[in-house]
Amino acid sequence: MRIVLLGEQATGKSSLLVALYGALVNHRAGDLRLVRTVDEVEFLSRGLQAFGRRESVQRTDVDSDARLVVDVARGDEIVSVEVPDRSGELLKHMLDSRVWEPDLHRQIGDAAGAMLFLRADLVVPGSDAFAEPLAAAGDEPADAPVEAVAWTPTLMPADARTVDLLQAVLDAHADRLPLAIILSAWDRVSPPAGAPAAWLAQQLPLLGQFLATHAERLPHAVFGVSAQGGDFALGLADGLVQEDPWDRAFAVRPDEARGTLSEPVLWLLDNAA
Amino acid sequence: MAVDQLLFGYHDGHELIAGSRPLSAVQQRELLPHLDASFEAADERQLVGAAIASLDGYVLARIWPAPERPRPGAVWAHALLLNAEQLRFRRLGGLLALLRRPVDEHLDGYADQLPWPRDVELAPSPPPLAEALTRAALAGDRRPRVVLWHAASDAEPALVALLDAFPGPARNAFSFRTRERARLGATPYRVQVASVLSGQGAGASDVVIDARQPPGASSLLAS
Repeated sequence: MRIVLLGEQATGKSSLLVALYGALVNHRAGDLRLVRTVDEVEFLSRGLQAFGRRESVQRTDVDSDARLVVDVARGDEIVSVEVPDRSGELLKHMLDSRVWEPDLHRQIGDAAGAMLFLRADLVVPGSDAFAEPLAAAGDEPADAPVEAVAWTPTLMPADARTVDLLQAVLDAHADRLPLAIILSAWDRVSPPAGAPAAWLAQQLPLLGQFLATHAERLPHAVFGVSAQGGDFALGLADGLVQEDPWDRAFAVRPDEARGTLSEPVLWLLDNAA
Repeated sequence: MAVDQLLFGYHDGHELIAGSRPLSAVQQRELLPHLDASFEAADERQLVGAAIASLDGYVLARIWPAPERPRPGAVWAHALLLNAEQLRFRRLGGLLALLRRPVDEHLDGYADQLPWPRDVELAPSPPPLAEALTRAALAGDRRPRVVLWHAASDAEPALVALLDAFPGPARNAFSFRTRERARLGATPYRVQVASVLSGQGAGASDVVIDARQPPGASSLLAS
């Protein structure tokens, strides 16, 4: 099963792969068991070592061909899972330039499922400029300098960029494409949120409405994920410091239950065509 | 005669920070894979040379880790953009000296063209490495080669000297990259120089030239 990762830079793609690999190797992946690793796992091992030192994993460079390729067992069934780890800059550049990135276009065409990554802690309620109340007429200071900024796609808010991406995905993938939506850094959402889907509908309403409208072509489920288990810069909570990376990491399922990082993969396996 | 330069680094992602000329989205997309890297140690660096079709030119760049930047894995890349005329007709030996890493995040001077450097005699590379690079660059079947050497950065002068030694019209076809770890498989580089080879079947490939071996032994591996 080929899974394509959709996420701009620093949205948690590599962190999830590293933490998932750690969970598989250390039998913390719920119903999923690791049968064998098919490709080399050097970048995953390095990432796990970084997590062990309570450091974030390195960003994935544009030239990278890193990927997670494993055979996993679920009950009696053995499934090959292949997840290329793509640099988020490639997607950012694609959205900014509005030109398909050739490798991503091919991967989407071949994919049986996708994971869409958004940073939950970077979605700021009320950050939409259009939501700012307008000043009453005549209140503007006469000498206030107003410098016009030319609009570019980089100025799109997160949910508009994501809808733009998903519209392109619908064009590139003819059949239904199950979509696991990963809200990364879920441990940093303040105040702590309940159901990830409800959070998404509230914070990213355009994306929520788009997903609801296209549920047949893009069947989806929303997961809150903390691959690190906490914020290394701020310091981990007391109870987490001594825990291994695979015990710190967690995913919140659509039903609000806390599970392992295998939850999005399990959902994709269940919903793949 | 002046040469264009670009500086890429991590801001909101790995992106163009400064440059002496504008780039279109297509040109940036074509350049980006040549100007990004992952490093395992803070004292590593990479040298890249490749033709860029959308620029009708050639990029010569060096990449360094940028541990001072907040994002782990961030890098700096300083690139020189040679136009078609410069690539065909100019001596290239002095270009290496123009590549410089930002120090203390001072970015002055990266937005201006640089005067074309005077030609210099490049430091000689160790003979086994120079011989292996020449064999890799001139391999008749034109398949990409990986040259294994103790420190990939030792190959920098020899690679630029090789590029300089090609006849002008042939320089465009010579591309290279030094890196700590190379993988076999699809690559845009005619020659890669690495100290470690990874990936399945890495030890037995006939496209690998192990210059670390004593004379004679390497011919068992290379074609």
